[in-house]
Amino acid sequence: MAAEDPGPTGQDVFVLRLYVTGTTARSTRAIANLRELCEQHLPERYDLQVVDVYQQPELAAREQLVAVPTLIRQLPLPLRRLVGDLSNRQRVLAGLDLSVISS
Amino acid sequence: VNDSGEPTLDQLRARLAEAEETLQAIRSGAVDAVVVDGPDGPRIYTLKGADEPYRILVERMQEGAVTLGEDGTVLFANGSFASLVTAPLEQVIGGALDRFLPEHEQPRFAALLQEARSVSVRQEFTLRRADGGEVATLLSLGPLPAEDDGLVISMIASDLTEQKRTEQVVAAERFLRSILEQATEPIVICDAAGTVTHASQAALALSGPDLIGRSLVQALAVFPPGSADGQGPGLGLTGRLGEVLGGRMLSGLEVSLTGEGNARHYLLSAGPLYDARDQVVGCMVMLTDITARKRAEEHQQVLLAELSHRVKNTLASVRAIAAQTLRTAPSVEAFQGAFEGRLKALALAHGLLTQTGWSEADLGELIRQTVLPYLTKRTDSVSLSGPTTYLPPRQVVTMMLVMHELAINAAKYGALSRENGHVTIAWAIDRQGSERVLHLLWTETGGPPVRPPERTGFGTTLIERSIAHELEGSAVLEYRPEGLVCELQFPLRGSARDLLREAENSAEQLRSDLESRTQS
Repeated sequence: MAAEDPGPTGQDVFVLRLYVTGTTARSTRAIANLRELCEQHLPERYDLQVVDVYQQPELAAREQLVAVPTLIRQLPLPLRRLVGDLSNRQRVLAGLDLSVISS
Repeated sequence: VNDSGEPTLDQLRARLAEAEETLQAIRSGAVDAVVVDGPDGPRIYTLKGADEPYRILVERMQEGAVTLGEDGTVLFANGSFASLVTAPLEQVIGGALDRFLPEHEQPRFAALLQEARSVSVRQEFTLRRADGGEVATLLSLGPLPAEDDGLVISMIASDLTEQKRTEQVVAAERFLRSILEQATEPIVICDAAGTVTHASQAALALSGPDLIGRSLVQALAVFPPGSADGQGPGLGLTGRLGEVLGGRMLSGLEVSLTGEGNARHYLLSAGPLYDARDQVVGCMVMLTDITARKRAEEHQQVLLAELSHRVKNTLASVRAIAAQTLRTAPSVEAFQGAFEGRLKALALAHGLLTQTGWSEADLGELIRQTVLPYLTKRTDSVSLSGPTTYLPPRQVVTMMLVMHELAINAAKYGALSRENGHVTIAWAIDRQGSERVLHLLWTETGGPPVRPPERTGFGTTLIERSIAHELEGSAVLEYRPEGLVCELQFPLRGSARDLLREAENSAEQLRSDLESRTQS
């Protein structure tokens, strides 16, 4: 496993796409949680775009979304998906392979 | 199912296919609701919520709608806000709102955000757009009830560009009006169709109060046809104004207003007015009053003609004096002395007239200046008495020469040649019909005994002839033994000042007459 997926290094830029639905509580919570986490663990080296699937359905279509909110880590590879309001910090860090770096 | 009770690979494949089919059905919109297990049993989530109309309303509204986290993170923004700040929507949501505010405005916004946690507030901000431009906005912020305990702040951003532009237009209009109100020159502004939209007070005074709304061509009809100088063939004022609306400048066209005795002259300048897209939206016509300049030019022409006239007259006088002096002088030396003296008298007359702008000269002053050079012994040997009298230029020159002859004669042979000699010069004005006649008596006493001259010299000739011819009067020279007596009389061809005084006297007379009649 480690050989196939070496995991991100301290220099990688994270390209993150978060898909939300308008102003719902889960969506706004997801944004707030993710912003705080990125500022803390990835200062100056993350590119976050938040897509409101209500307003920009065309941007959501290509991602084969099943549920929203969904966070997709586009870079570094491999692609990772996390569903939910991202309130479980440890799960998010693990899902993004960030626990290794930050520890 | 195999012996150990685990699903076979085929069964797993079937489940996977079923799961994918289910997902596909949800994704493609083939289901209306999903069933989700909750702590109290399954819950139904319809895929279109009851709040959808409100959501669409927010998405489609003209104003920018944003929800912000407590720290200013954009949690939601509609398309209008993204357009307002010219950034892709996905780059607006999730970022800090601060990036759309100039640095110096960020503390003010932070304070507003803090306040908006409890009350609704609004302030104007100029947002910095992603394309580098700026946009004036009114930001209205207030707390939003959130589903959980967190705090969300709503923000509505209204574009003030149009309002600002309107305010600028109003301010520019007010600015223009105040300029026009204070302009002392007639200024007219018209639109692209040639209709007058604005006019200065001076223009209204010139053209009448109903100027606004009329066509410029009508407005300029106050200038009679042909009053504009320098019109090209077939190209009148109207044609020229057409050219101005086509974008050409027009300057230095002289136009005149003929009035009863007070013609006014103007220099007409006109230029096109442009809007922000360089389209001609009208023109401005300005008239500069050059009446005073024109009068000065005319006056200068008159002066030049007058100067030429005077030089000719003076040369004629000099020639006559030279010829007469030559005829009567016994020697070259005598000629030189007499000629110089007479030229000096002529120069004195010119000097006196120049002081008054060649309009008139005071008779008393004239006599004083003439006899002064001969008062070598006593200054009180001459006495003058008479009313203040002003002589017009032609009479000044003649009188100066006459007085000179009398004075030089008195100094050589008469009263002024003796220490106790005395000359009395007295004059009075007598009214004869419509004319005023000057009587002047030159009386010498205390001089040597007088004998009539053996032959008539230049002096006598000049006195008698010039008084008769130049002044249309008479001169009588009486050689009494005790001294010469010369009596002159001639009509005063009134100087401007005399006429004025006369008019004032008449008016005063009328007034007192009137008063005495009303009293009786």
